[in-house]
Amino acid sequence: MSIYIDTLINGILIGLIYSLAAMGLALIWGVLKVINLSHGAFITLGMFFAYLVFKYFHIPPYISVFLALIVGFILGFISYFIALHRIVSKAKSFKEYELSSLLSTFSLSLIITGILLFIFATTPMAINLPLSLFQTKLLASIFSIIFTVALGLFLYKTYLGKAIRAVSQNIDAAKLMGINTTLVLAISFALGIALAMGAGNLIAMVFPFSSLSGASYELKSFIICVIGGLGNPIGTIIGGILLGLLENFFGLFFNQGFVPFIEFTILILLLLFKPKGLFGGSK
Amino acid sequence: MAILEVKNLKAYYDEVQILWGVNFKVEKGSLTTILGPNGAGKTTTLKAIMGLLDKVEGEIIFEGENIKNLPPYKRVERGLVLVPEGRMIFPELTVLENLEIGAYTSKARKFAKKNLEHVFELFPRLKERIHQKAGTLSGGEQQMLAIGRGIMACPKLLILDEPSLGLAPKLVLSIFEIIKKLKEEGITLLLVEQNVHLALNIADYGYILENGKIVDEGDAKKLENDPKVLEAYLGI
Repeated sequence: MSIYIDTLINGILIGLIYSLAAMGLALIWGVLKVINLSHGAFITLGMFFAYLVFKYFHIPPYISVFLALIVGFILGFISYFIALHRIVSKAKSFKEYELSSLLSTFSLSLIITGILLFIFATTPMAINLPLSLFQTKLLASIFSIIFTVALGLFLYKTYLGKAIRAVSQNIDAAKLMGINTTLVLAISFALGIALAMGAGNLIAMVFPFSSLSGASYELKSFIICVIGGLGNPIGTIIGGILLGLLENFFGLFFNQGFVPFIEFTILILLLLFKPKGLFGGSK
Repeated sequence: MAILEVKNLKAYYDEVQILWGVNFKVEKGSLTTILGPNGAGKTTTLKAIMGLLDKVEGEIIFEGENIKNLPPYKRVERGLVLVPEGRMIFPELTVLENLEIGAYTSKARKFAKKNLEHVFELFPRLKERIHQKAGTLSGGEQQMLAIGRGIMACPKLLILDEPSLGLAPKLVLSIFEIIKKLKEEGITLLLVEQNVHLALNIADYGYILENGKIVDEGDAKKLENDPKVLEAYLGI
């Protein structure tokens, strides 16, 4: 019996970490209507950030995660103006940049992954902390909860957060309220990237990784967003926990190698039968 | 003194020219109205004034300065505020959040508390629904919210685009009562309307816009009896 309880707890903890990663993707979609294909690359970057900071400065990931958020925010802010601003700001509706934003975020991903491959090849890496696996999972999931709550408070309690939500609902009306929408879009993208790097940083504490690890977490983020409905934060958390549970319980009975197969199957089934997510979502 | 002066305004949607040199003025403290049939370019004129269009030529002088090249948010910061056609409220935000966002500029934030009380005085219905999502409001309530949001912005010039559109006749009258009240409080107003008689009834000065040009102007009382005005509206 205890193995099931173990699996349940592990599933929830991992799910919370996944949901933090997915939150960044959901935020960028919700506000910019851009499917950020560089999401996984920034998760990987977060992992290597944790690794390097630990290796050279002996700062453990549960502290360097705050640095990762800051660095992620800065990189995201710059990336917005390099990769997205020109196509997003000229468009009359987001339908006009659906394709071009995929291309530009994909090229961002290629650049980041290329640099990581050049420096680190695909050597597997891990961060050895004097903590048990369970302790690292617990720590990482607690951080996930804290960041999720902080994001929620920011979006619902501050002027800037409300402005971000206003922009996501009607960008022209937001302009008429005196909101600098370009700045709000850049900040939203930066926050999404910060969350991706922060999540990567936390994941690196729990699992081994390589330059190519981000892709599988990007896929998980997509599935979570589809389960939860893109742009629905509560749905994202529930989606994350569902995926975490599913993976862990599945691993009890079958080979772990089947997990991506199952994930893809879920993604396709959801897109076929519940394209708005199990919990609705804004669109 | 004119608070807003528009000179030879031309505007385009892609390659199509919509405005062909529009000229008009809004005097400080007045209620000016722009009337015209569907498709005359009324909303386009307002979008051009607010900076929402890509291709605009001419001069838009607000308080003595040409603001033609400023981004929309800077125009709002200066006190140029539009209550847009179709209300454009934020449906997933609550009534209160919509009003707070109305007071987004740093100047408006300082007066947010006072203005909020004022909005609730004008529209007690909104106070009853303060924590309701704006998307669940009726059309009339949404229009009240849109006007309330405009008041929250501390406007020096409040522009109303078709505030009576799609409302029941009784509601139209109450919205016009509110506009009259705002005028009595000393807010400078620019009202764009299809409801000619109601608009001229409360306005000081009026312009007739047709096919992207001003074809007639004058005191509201004079325009009410002008055959050209009748023609513009019978010719729809």
